[in-house]
Amino acid sequence: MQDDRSKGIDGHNPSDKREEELKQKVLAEYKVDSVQQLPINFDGIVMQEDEEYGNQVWDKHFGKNYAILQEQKNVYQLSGFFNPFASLQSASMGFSGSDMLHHLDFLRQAEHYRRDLIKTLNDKHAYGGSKTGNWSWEADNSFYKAIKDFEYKNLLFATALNLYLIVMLCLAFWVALATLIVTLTAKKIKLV
Amino acid sequence: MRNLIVIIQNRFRHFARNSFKTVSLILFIGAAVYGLQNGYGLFQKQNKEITTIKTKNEEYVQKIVADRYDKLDEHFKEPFIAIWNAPSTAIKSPSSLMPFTIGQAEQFGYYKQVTNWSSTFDSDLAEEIANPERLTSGTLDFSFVVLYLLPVLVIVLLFNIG
Repeated sequence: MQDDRSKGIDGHNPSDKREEELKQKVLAEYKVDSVQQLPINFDGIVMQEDEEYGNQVWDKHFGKNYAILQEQKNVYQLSGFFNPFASLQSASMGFSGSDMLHHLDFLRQAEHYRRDLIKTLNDKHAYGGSKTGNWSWEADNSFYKAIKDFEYKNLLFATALNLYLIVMLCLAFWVALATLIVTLTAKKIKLV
Repeated sequence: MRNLIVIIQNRFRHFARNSFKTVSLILFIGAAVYGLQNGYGLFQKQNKEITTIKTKNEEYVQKIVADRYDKLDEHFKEPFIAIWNAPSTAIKSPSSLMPFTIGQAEQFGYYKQVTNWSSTFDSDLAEEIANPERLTSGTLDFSFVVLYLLPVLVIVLLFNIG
């Protein structure tokens, strides 16, 4: 991840090639010759570009992790066709919100919040009214008050049900099998 | 109705005279209480920690406002500097069903610091990949008692074991 990250633009390294390309693009867009002439703060744009590049790196590597975890989860859920206890245990923690899938959902929501927050701050730095190189410009209180706190939204029941569809199918299979076995064997049992 | 009462009386006598069954039931109840206590303990612990975090964050913000020009960068309301000084935490409050099913909640973090230098994706999932057996073993919580011990208890009670 460090290697991938270092290949990207560094918000604090002016010699970076990607930053230079970005700089030329912005200068052309505003039709000026230097970043000092820009009506916006170029530092904020660089930081946001760096942030977005970092997000791509995180998504790539953690995406692989999530794929492995999902695969592992699927195998375990499928084992419910042989072991009904596995299905019961999965359903129990799945519908109680104490399983891995709920945790992954929490991480995703938290990361989305983090990205939105950082983008809001960087955009304010870039377009709020300061100029390039000005690190003492301050946003007003109303801007900070408008930023909402993170609030985790639990998975909807329908979503959880969809994630545990295999588990529910396994349980339905075992209920049907148990009912069939009882129906077929009950008549053969001799009452004492 | 009378026959039913007689059957229940006889079954109870049968149960009371069989010490193996009595001990099994007591052990089962003990495990259920322990499992519930285990889950409720974790539920309380997480809620307590969340309250502490919120209080500390609030106190920190108050301190920033009070000490603005003394200890902190005087331009802390500059957007880039603000994130370094403002404590922001993403919190996942425990489910109210946690006392019954701890599940995998023990091994995952339930709060993350929101910063501009790190992702909330972190290594707390590494244990899950390295040790998938934890999925099958789990913790002794109430759901474990119901799922695994209750069937054993039913077998003990319905058959003349011991």
